[in-house]
Amino acid sequence: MTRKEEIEKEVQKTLESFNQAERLKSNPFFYTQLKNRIDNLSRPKRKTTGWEFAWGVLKSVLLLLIIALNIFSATLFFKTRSSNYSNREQMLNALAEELTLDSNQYNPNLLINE
Amino acid sequence: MEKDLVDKIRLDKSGSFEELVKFYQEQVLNTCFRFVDNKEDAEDLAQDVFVEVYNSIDSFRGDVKLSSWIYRIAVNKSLDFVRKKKRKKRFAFVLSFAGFGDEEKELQLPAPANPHTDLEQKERTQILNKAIDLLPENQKIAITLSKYESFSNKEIAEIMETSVSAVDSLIHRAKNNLQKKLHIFYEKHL
Repeated sequence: MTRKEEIEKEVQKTLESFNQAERLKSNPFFYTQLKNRIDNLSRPKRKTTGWEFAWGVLKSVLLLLIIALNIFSATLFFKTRSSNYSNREQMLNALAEELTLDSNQYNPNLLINE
Repeated sequence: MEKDLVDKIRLDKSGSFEELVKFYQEQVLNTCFRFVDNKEDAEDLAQDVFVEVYNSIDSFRGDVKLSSWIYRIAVNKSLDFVRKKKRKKRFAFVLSFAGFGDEEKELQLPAPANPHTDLEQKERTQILNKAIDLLPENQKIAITLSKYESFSNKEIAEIMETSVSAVDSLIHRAKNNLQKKLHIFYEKHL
């Protein structure tokens, strides 16, 4: 048998698998399971009580409030900082004054000479 | 008979619906199985099919056979399931080459352990299923319903909402494509 014939034989045999395909048997509890599912779907859903609804709304409002407060304080912080110190040098001077530092005190060479 | 059954279900859902489920459950299960190739998934899908039948029996107009309507739901649900599964896979392997030109995809399976011995029937079925999976969707539906589930071309036309001649042509093209894909596969692996 030539290779071509061999390939053709395999192709035909594979195509014949259509007739030998396995068939599934249905589960004996199929209808019972289906009925349970349908009953669960058609059962009216429990209504939420007034308190549950109010608590849900309150939670969302609180969350929004916290976010808004955070944004507000962050804006305020950056605004104050930029208005007080127009540039970096001014800010450093202000800090130095606050900590009573002068140029000698942070010059490490002076400490060595002493 | 079908009309009576539908009317009975509309009037009193419980008793007649059980009759309908018991009559169609096996065929629906097997139809789903042909597309998803997994018993558990097919069982879940078959349940989904009957839930939908139960919920929408009132909207069944009777312009097609009840059986065709049920199998149409089964096919659509199975294809949706397969699409979702493929989407998940594609997402997982987003950098792989998946998804390039379904038409020309080549059948890729591990080579048989011993190429000189006859392939086991199970392996043949697996090869055939993989080859069917590479067909364009319409051809895949037509050949699966025709060859695996032995539906007539008229029934397939009703299920697919198309004409009988279109189904003839789909099946013809599917057979040709399958032969081509299998030839390429065996040329490489035999």
